[in-house]
Amino acid sequence: MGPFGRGEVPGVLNQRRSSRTSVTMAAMRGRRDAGVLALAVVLAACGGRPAELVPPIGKTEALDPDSPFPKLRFADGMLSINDRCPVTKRKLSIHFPPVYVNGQPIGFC
Amino acid sequence: MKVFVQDPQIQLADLGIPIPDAIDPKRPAVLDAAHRSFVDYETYFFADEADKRRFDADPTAACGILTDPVTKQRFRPGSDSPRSQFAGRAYVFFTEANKATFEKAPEAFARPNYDAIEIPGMPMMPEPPATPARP
Repeated sequence: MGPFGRGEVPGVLNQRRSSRTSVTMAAMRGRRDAGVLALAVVLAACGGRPAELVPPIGKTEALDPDSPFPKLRFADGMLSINDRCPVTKRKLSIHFPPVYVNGQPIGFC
Repeated sequence: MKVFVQDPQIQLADLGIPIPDAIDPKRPAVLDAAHRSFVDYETYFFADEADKRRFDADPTAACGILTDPVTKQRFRPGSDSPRSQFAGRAYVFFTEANKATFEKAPEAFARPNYDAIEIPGMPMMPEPPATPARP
């Protein structure tokens, strides 16, 4: 047993172990990269992104009912980008579904 | 509403609300018919014709959430979502079954049926004028 006791000469041993470890890690990383690539190929072959339903999370409601022209929060949780009807310029109605422009909801009356 | 969906850029410009490009939100979209695309019931505007072409080549890549014209469910389309065309407009569906239903009677689903919207206290269709009974 040397001056450092059992498992001594940690530097030398650890160096060896670390070099061996780094070889193993590199091999694992290579295998992981190959796995990721294979997964990407499989996903691409299967069509990639699957479609998903976006269920409503609530009911349409006025954001600030006391305001003369409140914006609406629609059932999908999105906020109307307008606060008055684009056609008549009147207050928005919760009874009309929004029309989406570039993904943003526009309310009506 | 019916007025709006035909040419939304007219009222949008009137409202003065800036609409960002559907592909690159950092750029403002040009609100005119030449920079516009329709997918299902949704409208998209673009900053230039290149972005419009890129969008039209694969609308599902940048369209975000859509409304299925048959079930009216909101859904995020996948890259292989069923598609169709009707009257020069692109349609994307949540399922193949919805696409098949649409293609049997596209006129029934191609536009939202605003006349069927029920508003409490308001008759859906105006009553026809009463005709006086003949003596």
